[in-house]
Amino acid sequence: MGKFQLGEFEEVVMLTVGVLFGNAYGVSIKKEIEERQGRNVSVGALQSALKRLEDKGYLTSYEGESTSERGGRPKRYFNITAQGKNAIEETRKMRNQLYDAIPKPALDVKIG
Amino acid sequence: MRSQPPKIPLRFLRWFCQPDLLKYIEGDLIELFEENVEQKGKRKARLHFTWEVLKLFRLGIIKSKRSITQINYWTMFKNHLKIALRVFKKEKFFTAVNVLGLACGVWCALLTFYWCMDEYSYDRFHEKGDHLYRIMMNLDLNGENYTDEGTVYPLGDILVEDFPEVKSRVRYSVDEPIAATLNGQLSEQSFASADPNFFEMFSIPLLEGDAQNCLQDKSNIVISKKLAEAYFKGESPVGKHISLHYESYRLEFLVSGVFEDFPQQSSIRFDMLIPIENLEAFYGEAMNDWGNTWFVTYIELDDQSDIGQFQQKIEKLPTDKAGMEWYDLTIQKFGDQYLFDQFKNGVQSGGRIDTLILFIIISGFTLLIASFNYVNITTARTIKRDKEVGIRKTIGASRTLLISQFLTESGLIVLIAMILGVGVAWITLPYFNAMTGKSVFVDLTDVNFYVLLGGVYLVTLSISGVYPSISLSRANRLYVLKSSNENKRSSFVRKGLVALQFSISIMIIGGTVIIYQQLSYIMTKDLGLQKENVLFLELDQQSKPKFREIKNVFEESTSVKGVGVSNHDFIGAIGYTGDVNWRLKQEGAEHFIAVQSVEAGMLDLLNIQLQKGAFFSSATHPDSTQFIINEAAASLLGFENPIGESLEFWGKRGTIIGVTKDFHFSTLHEQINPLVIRNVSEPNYLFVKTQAGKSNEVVELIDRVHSEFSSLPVNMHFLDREIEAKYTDERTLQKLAYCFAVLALIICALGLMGLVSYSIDTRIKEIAVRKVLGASLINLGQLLFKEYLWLMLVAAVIGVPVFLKWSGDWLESYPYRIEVSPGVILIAIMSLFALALLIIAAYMRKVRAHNPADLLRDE
Repeated sequence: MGKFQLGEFEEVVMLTVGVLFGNAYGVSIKKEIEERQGRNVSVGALQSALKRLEDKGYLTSYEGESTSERGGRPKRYFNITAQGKNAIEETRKMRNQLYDAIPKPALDVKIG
Repeated sequence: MRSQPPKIPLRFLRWFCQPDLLKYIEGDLIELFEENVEQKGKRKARLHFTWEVLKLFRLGIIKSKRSITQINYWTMFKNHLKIALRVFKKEKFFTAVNVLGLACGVWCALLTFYWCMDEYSYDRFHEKGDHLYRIMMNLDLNGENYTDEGTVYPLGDILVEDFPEVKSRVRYSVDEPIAATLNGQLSEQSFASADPNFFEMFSIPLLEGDAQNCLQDKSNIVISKKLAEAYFKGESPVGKHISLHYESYRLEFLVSGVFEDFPQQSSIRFDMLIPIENLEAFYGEAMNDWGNTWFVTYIELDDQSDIGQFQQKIEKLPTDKAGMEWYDLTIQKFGDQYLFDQFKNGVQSGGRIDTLILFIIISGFTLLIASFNYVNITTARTIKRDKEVGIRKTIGASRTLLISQFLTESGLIVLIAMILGVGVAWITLPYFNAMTGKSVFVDLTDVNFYVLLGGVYLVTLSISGVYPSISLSRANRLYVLKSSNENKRSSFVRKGLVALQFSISIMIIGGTVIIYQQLSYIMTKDLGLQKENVLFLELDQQSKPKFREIKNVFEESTSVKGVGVSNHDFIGAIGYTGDVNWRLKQEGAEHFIAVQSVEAGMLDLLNIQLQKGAFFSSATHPDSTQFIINEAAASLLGFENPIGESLEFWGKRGTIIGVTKDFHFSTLHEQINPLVIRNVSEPNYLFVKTQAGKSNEVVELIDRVHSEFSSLPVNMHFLDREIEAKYTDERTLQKLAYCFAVLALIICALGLMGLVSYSIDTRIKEIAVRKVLGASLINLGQLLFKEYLWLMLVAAVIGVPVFLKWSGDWLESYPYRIEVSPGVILIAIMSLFALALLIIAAYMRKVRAHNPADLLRDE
């Protein structure tokens, strides 16, 4: 189990990279998360999460073409690795298991 | 035109960001920035950019200097430590020499620091200290300038009234110990009188009573905690009565407060304090006379006042207010009075501070010599470690890594030396205190202590560690042919350091000899009077009127050789008068003459030599006006034959009947001033000369006789011991200087030992070959000695002039001084010579033990 430890933010980043399949680089990931989750993501937080995930082997990256955009700096695109896929699935499975284990009445909250 | 992201954050980012991430992150940031410029405007975009950069400053993004070394730092350090310990183990002798030398230096530095801090803290503990000053009088006395703290009584009030910058004043007068009845017990206690606001100006906490009111009433008295504890055990003394006995007076005082005992570092000290207005009853009219400088005036100035200006304003006050042209006023910061106790033309010119600076310099030098030892020995041994350095470099060690390795080694050595030095200082502190009369102690909770240690550590390390590590790690060493052996530059530096070390040692040793000679000169100088076997008794108010009866009792005793009485004690304090007239006196000239009063027999008792005329005879009536003068006075008066001439002072005319040879009636810090001796009217001292070896019996006799005539405690002293006590400072200085000289020699010896043994090590084959060819040990010794002879000559050339300049300056403060003889310089140089010879001789013994065949066999 402990093999695939993903933090909450890390998981969000992983999933977003998946969503943006083929077009996942710093700014696009940031915007996607901000749009979907309505929360602010700093470049620093994102970059260090990406670096961590890459170090763990869940993401790979390749350098995109340099264009005149972005002051001539290339983009760095991310892809999920096989291990990364396992990690998301494992996390999801675990969450589902936990969700399923909740006894019904506990979720049967009446309002009012 | 595209707007550019702000430069400074960008540069910051480039500085800290991992290089492989940088271009992508920069790209992302710029993309966001450009978008923001369009959406939110330039200013906000720039702000946003900066903020993002700041948030990027986090662990995962910051670059590590070099990822490999980072991981290895600790391991490398451990390795350096291990190597260092191995080197120490292998080179036990050199390590020991280094550690011992540095420890001596640290020890010295620590003790000096404590001593200086203690000296410096004198009188600086008062909260208002920055604004407190004392007024001084400045006058010319027989052509010499004197500055003294005596001022007149009215001055304090005039200063407060006429000068708005003077916030308050305290007039203070410290008197001889006075007999006092405390809680029914009679004893003698130190006592002073001052204005009622004394405790408001000076930060001496009151344990009972309050600073504002405790001296408001004329009959109030405030006593020290010491007295309160000794005489009012457990009870509060406040509200109790204390009576003071002065001459025939008996004065009642009401205790209104108890103050904390003065710290040792206070120039003002007393055990009882009364309001100064009480003195008016005794002095009467004289109290307000502008000629009677009997009081000390302390003032508090406000923040803004300019001291120089204020000093100018008050300078001529005695002339302006009372026509007193013979003295001016000047001013000194209260906190400076202990360290700066010498004046030149009314301006403080030094004093104890000179000794302080001297010792700081000497101990700095000692530390420097010790550090030089380390540098010398370490660089001298570079060759031995060339291979190690070479291999390290081949494997890939960078220069910085090597430097850090050698710095670790030095750091460790210095650390061990520090621990040793601090330990020794700790152990020797009680002896140090006993020697200097201080009570300093190491306060382990004091932050300053650690700051000091850290400072000494860093300074020592940077002097001793940096050069060797740079020299050892030098790149080309591996490729230097072995035959050229030593790097020329490092050998030059080494020789320079040895020369400097020698010259510092010459200065320290020479200085010590000078200090020693001067002080023993002072202490053994013929004072012109006999001080051995003489006791003197301070007469108190009860025994004073009966002094004749007391004298008679002593005269009958077989153990007593002679008895005499006098007004002053012949060893220090004496009164001066400017109120003298004689036939040849020039109009308007101001002369001051010391006045002593004795009864017939007194001068004979002290073996004072007569130059001309006669002493008082016992037949002379005490009131008759006959004077005896000393040679200095005779030359001042200017008579060809002063005998029979008349002299007038204090309104009385008398005839000079004798001239004594000059004798010292005060300490040797002062010249012999003109002196007039009168017939006594009211003596304060009774001198008893004992038969040799009978002093114990006489002490008992005095004790017994005194108790018959007075109920007060007896105060008797041996004249020679009292004279000696006047030179306590000098004796401390002498001992300290002596210690420094020994230390300097020890450290020098250690350094020499290191270098000589190193020379022998590197030249052992040469020595062996010479031995085989028939060189005697003496030849070999000469060979080694020659190296140091040169250095010593260079050292002498540097050291001797500095030494001469210093010793000349130092001796100048003594009116009676020795000449710097060439012998002193010779002693200093010869002692180094002897040291070098001794060490070389010791090593020659080792050389003799070697069989040349063993030494030449390999290679």
